Amino acid sequence: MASRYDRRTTTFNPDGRLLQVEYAIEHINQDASVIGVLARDGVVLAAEKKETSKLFIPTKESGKLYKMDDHILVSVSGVVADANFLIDYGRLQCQRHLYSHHEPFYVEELVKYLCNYKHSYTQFGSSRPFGVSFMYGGFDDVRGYQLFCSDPSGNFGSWKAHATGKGSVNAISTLKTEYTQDCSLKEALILATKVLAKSMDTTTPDANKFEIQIITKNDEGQIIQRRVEGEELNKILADAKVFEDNKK
Amino acid sequence: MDNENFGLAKSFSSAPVLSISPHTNFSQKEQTDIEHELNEQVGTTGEYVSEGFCFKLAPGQDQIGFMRSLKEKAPKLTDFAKGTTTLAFEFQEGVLVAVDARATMGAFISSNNVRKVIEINDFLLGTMAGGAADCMFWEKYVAMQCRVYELRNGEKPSVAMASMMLASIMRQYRGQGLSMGTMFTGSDKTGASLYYIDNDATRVKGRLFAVGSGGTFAYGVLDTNYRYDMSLDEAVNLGIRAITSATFKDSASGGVVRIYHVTNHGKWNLIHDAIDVSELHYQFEQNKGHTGRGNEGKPNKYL
Amino acid sequence: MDSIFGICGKDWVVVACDTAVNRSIFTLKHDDDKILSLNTNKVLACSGEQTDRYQFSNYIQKNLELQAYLTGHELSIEASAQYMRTELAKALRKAPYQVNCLIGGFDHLNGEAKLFWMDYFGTLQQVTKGAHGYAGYFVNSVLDNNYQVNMTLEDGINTLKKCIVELKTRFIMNQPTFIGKIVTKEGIRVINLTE
Repeated sequence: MASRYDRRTTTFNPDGRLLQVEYAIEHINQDASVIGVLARDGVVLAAEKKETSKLFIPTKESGKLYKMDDHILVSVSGVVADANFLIDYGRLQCQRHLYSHHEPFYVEELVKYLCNYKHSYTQFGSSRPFGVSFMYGGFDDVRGYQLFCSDPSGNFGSWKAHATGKGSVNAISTLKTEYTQDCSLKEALILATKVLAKSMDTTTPDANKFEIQIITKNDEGQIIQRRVEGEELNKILADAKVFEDNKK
Repeated sequence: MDNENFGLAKSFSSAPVLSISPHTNFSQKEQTDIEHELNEQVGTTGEYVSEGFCFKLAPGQDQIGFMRSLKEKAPKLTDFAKGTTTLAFEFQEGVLVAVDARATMGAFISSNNVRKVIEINDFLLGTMAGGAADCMFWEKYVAMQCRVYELRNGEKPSVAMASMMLASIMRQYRGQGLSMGTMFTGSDKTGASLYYIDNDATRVKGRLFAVGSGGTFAYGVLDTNYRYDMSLDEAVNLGIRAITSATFKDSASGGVVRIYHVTNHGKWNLIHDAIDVSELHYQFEQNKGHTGRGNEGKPNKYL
Repeated sequence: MDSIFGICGKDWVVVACDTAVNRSIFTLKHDDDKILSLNTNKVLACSGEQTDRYQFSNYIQKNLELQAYLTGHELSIEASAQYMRTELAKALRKAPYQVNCLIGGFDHLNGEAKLFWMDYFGTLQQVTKGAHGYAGYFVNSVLDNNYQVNMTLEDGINTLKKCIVELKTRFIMNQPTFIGKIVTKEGIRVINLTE
């Protein structure tokens, strides 16, 4: 398994691949799934909650979804410690931009900013790439709602719907067939939960397995992001026929 | 300048020829933090460490503050006597530069035969007003930079660019005691052009400038008689007349008139090297039918 | 001693300035354009020493351009103004730029024109009309009295002309020519305000 070329991040192997970077990407593919769906009036990020011990008490920020700024929501796949660092780094830049321009940071700029940083860690010897893939849902005045995804190499893309993690291959193909252009947030939520449920390990998914957040505008036209849970989540799961599908 | 390598090619070898000023230190740029690298902005300047030149600077870090307090405590020490008349104007056949030749030390006339036009290279000229050393030194420095530019790029820099080099240097040393007021002129692909640059880093492109204590008098003659479509002869005569008039009224200006012509084809010519202003004065007055002694129309009872 | 002033309507903004560059007792130049067009919908008028004006406005212009290249879109008028304020405030305690600015622009996102007033300390204020320097003492009352909500571009230009008349009758400085830049949806237009 081990090769002469995977010791350093900065060395290409004879096939022209950067093995350490690919291993980092592979690490993400082993992690729990995250689904992101872009709607005309919001963005949905849905993640599979981790199996936790009965004794575990969630800390203030745990799980897969984090608030980057008021208008940007990110999901994390991969090494959580790396992610924590990058999220802090991104949050700081968001606030810096707000401070100097009195305007929220553009979503794509944040993605680019973090990706530049991630990329720099594939350029220098003796450092390890960030083993993190982010999915970003966000809103800005220029481009409206946006969904991005980035990987440890520093690549990123903008998507209408995307999935990362263990079940991502199947999830993406399902998204391809079932995603409708300009869908509503409600439809996006249903699609996301449906696809996520399918890509889960368990045959009996329950509401506790889903960690879902949306970013949308409230009645006053302000951007908000909130968790979808409790009664609302149950209703969506029912609409998505998550339990029926899996029984079949 | 106590560096033994001063002026030798060796002292420039590690110095940045890229930079506009000797202070900008590219070679010492250490591997910076990645974060810093990513945040880089246009025009951000870091700490300057002198390289290439080794000026003796005043002890301490705050040069500007030092100069300011020096000015308060010993105003005469920093206040050079600057008496001069220099002028330059654009006209259809290029740029005409005319200067006087007097150097003064207070009330004492130390020379009447100074060269106040600095021949930077074969297409650039700079005039000298203020501190002679600063003008000469930095305009020669620009000459070096222009040559390096030419070697690197295979073509001469534009006058706009060369003048910007000088202005940038003035900006970097702003408030640190430099004294320079120059008309920077030259000829490039676009023809001849004229800039005014001084130690406050003012850089203005214009058609007509006069600098120095006699400048107001020179302006008086120039503004009333200037036309863009003058012939070279007319321009030369106007230049001579303006300098002569200025030297007549300004005690700090005098000596001889020197005239240079910057053509529109990438060269300059020396037209008159030394015409004595006192002779010119009598000549002009006699053309009007006066004696030149200034007693025309005055009652001669007190003579 | 530069005179700069401006007035802003719903979807237009006009900024005017004199064109003289003065130094000690000389006027070095009579046709200097002190209003820099930052792009097709933003202008920055600066008063102050020539070198600081040049340095600051070009620093801002180039960095805004760089940001536009990096992000693929231009900053809004407010964000640009805030950015200038940040840069000015940053420089204030190191090597201050002695420039007072008016920033005018048309925001394509919401179809509004905006005018910002900023002094060299970094005080930034969105205004409907504003002036800097000694000219302000003469011109502010004229602007106040002639300003009206929903006034037309024509009225705006006329108001500025009234300001110039006032400056020429009462202000000691010799400022023979004035130019103005109009920013509307269509872009920037230069007008000669000297009659």
